[in-house]
This record gives sequence, C-alpha cells and structure tokens, in this order.
Amino acid sequence: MSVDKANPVLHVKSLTKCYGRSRIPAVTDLDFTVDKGEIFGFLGPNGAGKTTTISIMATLMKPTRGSVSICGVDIVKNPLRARKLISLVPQEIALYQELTGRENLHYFGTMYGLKGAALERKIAMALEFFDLGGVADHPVAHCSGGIKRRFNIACGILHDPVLVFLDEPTVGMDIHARNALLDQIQNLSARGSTILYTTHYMEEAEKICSRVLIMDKGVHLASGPPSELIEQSESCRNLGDLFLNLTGKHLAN
Amino acid sequence: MGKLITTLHKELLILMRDRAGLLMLFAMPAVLVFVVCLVQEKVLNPTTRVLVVDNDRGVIGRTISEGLASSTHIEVETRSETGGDGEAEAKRAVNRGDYQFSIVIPQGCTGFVRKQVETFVSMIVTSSSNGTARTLPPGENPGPGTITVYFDPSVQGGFRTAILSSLSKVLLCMEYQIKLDQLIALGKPGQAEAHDGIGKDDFNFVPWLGIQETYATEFGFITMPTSVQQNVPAWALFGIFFISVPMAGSLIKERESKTLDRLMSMPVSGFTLLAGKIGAYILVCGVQFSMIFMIGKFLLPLAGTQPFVMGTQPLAIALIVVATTMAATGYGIMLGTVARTYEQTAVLGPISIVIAAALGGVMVPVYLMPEPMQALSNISPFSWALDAFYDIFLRGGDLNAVVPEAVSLFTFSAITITIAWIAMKFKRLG
Repeated sequence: MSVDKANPVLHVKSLTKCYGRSRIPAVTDLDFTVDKGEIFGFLGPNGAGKTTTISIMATLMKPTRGSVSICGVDIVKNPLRARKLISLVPQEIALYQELTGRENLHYFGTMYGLKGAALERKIAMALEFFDLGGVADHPVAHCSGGIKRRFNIACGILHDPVLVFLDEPTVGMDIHARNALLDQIQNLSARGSTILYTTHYMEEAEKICSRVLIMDKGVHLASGPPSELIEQSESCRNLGDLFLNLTGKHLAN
Repeated sequence: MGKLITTLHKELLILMRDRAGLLMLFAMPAVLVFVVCLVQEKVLNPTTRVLVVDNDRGVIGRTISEGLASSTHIEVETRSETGGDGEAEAKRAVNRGDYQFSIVIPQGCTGFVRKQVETFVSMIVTSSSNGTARTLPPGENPGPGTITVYFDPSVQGGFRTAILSSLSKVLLCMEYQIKLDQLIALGKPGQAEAHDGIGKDDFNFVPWLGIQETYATEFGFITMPTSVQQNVPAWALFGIFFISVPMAGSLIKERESKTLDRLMSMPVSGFTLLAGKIGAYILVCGVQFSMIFMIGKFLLPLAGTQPFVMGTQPLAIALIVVATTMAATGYGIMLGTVARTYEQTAVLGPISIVIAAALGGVMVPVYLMPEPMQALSNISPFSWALDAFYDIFLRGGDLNAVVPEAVSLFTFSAITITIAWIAMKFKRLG
C-alpha cells in the first residue's frame, strides 16, 4: 500500500508529559506525524520516553501539555472514538493464557465491538493471515513463543484498526520466527494498516520502516526515512551506527 | 450487553481451567466445614448418652425411653432384658464411660404400680393413701417399685439432681395417670358419671401449666446454634471471601501481562470489564455456597450430626450471599490494585482473610467470645454476614431483618472499589 502523506493518521503536537510533581518531563515537546499506510519506527534506548508516548497515544494516560489526534480525533477530548481507530499490541503477551487462541480472538474481537458472523469471519481471516489455524484451539499457555506473539498481534487487528501500536513484537523470538513475523507485519501494512513500530533491533527498523523517529530522554533527536538519515550522517553505515551516534554509547539507566 | 456477557463468560472459563484456584474455592471450604462441624459437634451440641435397661417391658419403661429420646440433647439406648445380667452390665458400661448415666427399670415395675393402684382405689372410699414417687437413699434395698439410676462419677451434682428430679416427675405423673385410669375404668362409675357424665375420653391430659425455655443472651437467639447451624454458614462465608485471592491474582496477572492496558485502550468501559468479572464471581460464589449448604444438609448427617436447616427465608439468604460476594470481590479488586506483585496478594490476601474470619466469629462464634473481643468483632465483614445468618437461622428474622447487614456489606464493597479506583487512577495517570 502506498503512503498517503496528505492525510496523516497520527498527529502529535508539542507533546509533553511530567509524572506527578516531577519537574523533569518524561517527554518534551514531541512533534511528529505518521502517514496512512506507513510502518513508522519509533526508536530510542530504555528510558527514552517511548512507552510514555505510546501510553498517551493509546489513551491510557493524559498528556501534561500538547495534543494527539488520530484521523483528526483528539484523543483527550474523544477517547472512546479514538479507541475504535487504534489497536495497542503490547510487548508482553497480553493474552489470557488459560484460554485458547480462538477464545482470545473471540474475546478481544467482542471488546472491539465485533459480533456474530462478522466476528467469526474476522477470526477466520486472522487465523489464516498469521497461519494459526492448526493451533487455534490450543490453550495459549501451551503454545510456543512465536505462536503466542502471532496471536498477540492477531487479537489486535480483528477490527481493522486505522493505527496499530506494535511494541517490540519480535522480542525474544528466534531468527526464523522473527523473519516470518516481519513478513506478516509488512503484509499487514500492505493491507492498509498504519503501524507505529517500536524495537531495539535497528536492522528490523531499517528493513521494514518507511520512516523512523529516534528520541532519547524524552526529546526528539532525528526523524526521516532510514536511508536518508544514514546518508546524511558522515560515518554511519547503518541505522544501528546512527542510533548509537545520536543516543551515545554509554549504558542507559 | 454482549461485551458484559462475553467478559463474564471469559472469567468463568478462566476460573474453571484454574485447578489450583478451584481447589481453593471449592475443596477447601468443603473440607473445612466438614471437619470443623464434626470437631465442634461435642462442644456446641453436648449430648448425653443414656442407657435404659428395661427389664419391665411395660408402660413405665416405654414412657421413660420415649421421654428421653424426645430431647435433642440426649441419645438413648434401650435394652429390654429379663433374667439376664442387664443391670450389672449397665453399671459396667457407665463405669467405662460409655454412658453418662443408666436407668434400670426392674422386672414387674408396671405390674407393681397397677397392683398398688388397685389397692389404692379400693382403699380410697374408706381411707386415704399418699403413694408418690420418691428417691431412695443410697443403700436402701430396692423392690419392684424402685428404679435404679447409675451415674458416671464425673457427672456434676446439678445435672444429677436435674435428672433425678425429672425422673421423679415423670414417675409421679405416670402414677397419677394410672390412678385416674383405674378410677374411671374400674371402681367409680357412679362418681365419674355423677359428675356431669364425664368419661375417660374427656380427659385429654394436656398440661395446664407450661414452661417456656428461652436463652438469656444479648444476641436474642430463640434457638441455640448447633455446630452445623453455626459452621455451615460461617465456613461458606470463609469460602466466599477467599475468592478475593484469585480475583486479586487475576487483576495482577492482567496488569503484569499488559492485558489490562490492552483492554483499557479498547472501546469498552471499565464498568463493563469490572461488572463482568464481579458477575462471574457472584455465580461462582452462588455455586460454592449451595455446595456447602448441601454438604450441611445431606453429607454431615451421614457423619452423625444434625442436618443443616435452611429455614424459610431463601430471599434473605440470597441477599446476604450476594452482599458478601460483593464485599469479597470489592476486597479482591482493592487487593489486586494496591498490591504490586502477585506474591504480595498471595501472602496478604489469605492472612488478612483468616484474621478477619477469626475476628468475625468464623472459627469461634462471637457469642462465645469475651466481651472486648465481641466489640472488636464488629469491624469484620464476616461478623456482619454471620450476624445476618443468625438473624435468619437463630432469631427467626426475615428479609427486612438482614437489610442492615446487607447495607454494611454493600458499603464495604463500595468503599474498597473506590479505594481501588483511586489507586488505579493514581498509578495510571501519574
């Protein structure tokens, strides 16, 4: 699917978040847009403010200042409308381990407002898309890590969300499972979903993201297509080098 | 509505597949109620075992046995023997501690009384007679008109006197009745019919004077609780409150796995998610409570206890079960929100519940506690719920009687859920 730059799906403007009485903001004046059909890499070391930003965009938290709109819907003013447009796929396996994959899909699909034949059709499509038909009726707890991760994403796309927040979806996966999942994420984008993708694997971001944003300590450091960002720097051969150049080579807290 | 029912269904599926949780929710209270009822049976329902050796096999032995057996606190064994060594065996059995006392009715006792009465009736026209039941001093040679009572030496003096006095009363009544029968049937047709034609059938022998037994307690009981009536509701409540542990655990699991974040980012209200969860636990508690009641009604009697009596106020019982479940789920939600880890709830939950249960009269009834502890017990929701059951089972109360306790339990639920809501807002919004 081609990227539609005229109609950004996500518009983040001057976003700032301070926790409690802390004067040090977790996120400071963050500005960016994500266009329709993009896989947008949202990168940063631990403590950069990625989780805080995603939590605000997913309506779990209110910003201290600034605004976030999804397809023109302000998430603070209209959280319920915004929630119908998005899907949050956490890094953790956010599923009920005692239930089967199909039961999880049924439950989360219903929570997204699907029902009846439409829900069953979407479940069948998701199982086929992620090649999960053979394990659909196994309890999630008994499934392998890779299958759990695929179910984790499948539960988030049943309602055809406009914007999907994928938080480190490949963490802990072996190379085969990771490559397969990356292909499926790219297919998802090709089907029309816009994806905000966070990862610590820079080669993944370089491979699948049309644009990336690198932030650290709550501040925007750089953004643009990975190839352009690498080209603009003098000594970086890849996104990993650029990331280290921008965020420093010291260990983050 | 679809989201609510699906959430409820999901919670039930999870509960049913959690074997350890099921064991805690169903097996634990079932075993506890069974064991504690049997253990406390002798404490709360002291029964006296009596051996009646009826060598007479007449109306006197039968009346004494039936009279003793009609008491709920006396267990009677009657042996009818003639010519055997029944009396010596009765003495040995009491001496061994098999019975607290034994009553030996001598052979020919009823015949002896009838003969005495006949003599009395024939004498009545010419002279007076004053034959009444009396207690022989120890050592006096008993005849066919003397009933011997062997007491276990450990039986207290007051109890001994009460038994002897009751027995004397029964014998006296029987003497008078036989006299009256004889007067009407045999010797005094002229007298009986002369008095306005009154015959034997006109005497219905209903006592004119009666005794009402009431309990001088501050708790207003109209019947004293048996071990079963005390422990069945008490341990059922304990089981209900224990659901707060798996409930808190499920909330923490959802929080740690970020399933809660996922749900909160969906177009579904927190109320729906919470109501689905609470609804599932109310259903589980209903099943749990019914199971404990069934154990009390059908299983415990097989082990020798009295059956549990549900009474005639099912609505009042249902109200208290729902109110207690709400209190327990509220506590579980608070625990699951305030605690940081699953381990914290696994320790804090059971400990706090056991303390509240002990304080609230689950283990030792509140009415047996010393006064300061009775006052302290009022802070425990177990005490409110148990008091509601006392209203229903022991005070003859109806739905209206349990409303105050139900309100207290619902208020407790509302307070704990509010605390959880505030804690969650504080944690999430930063």
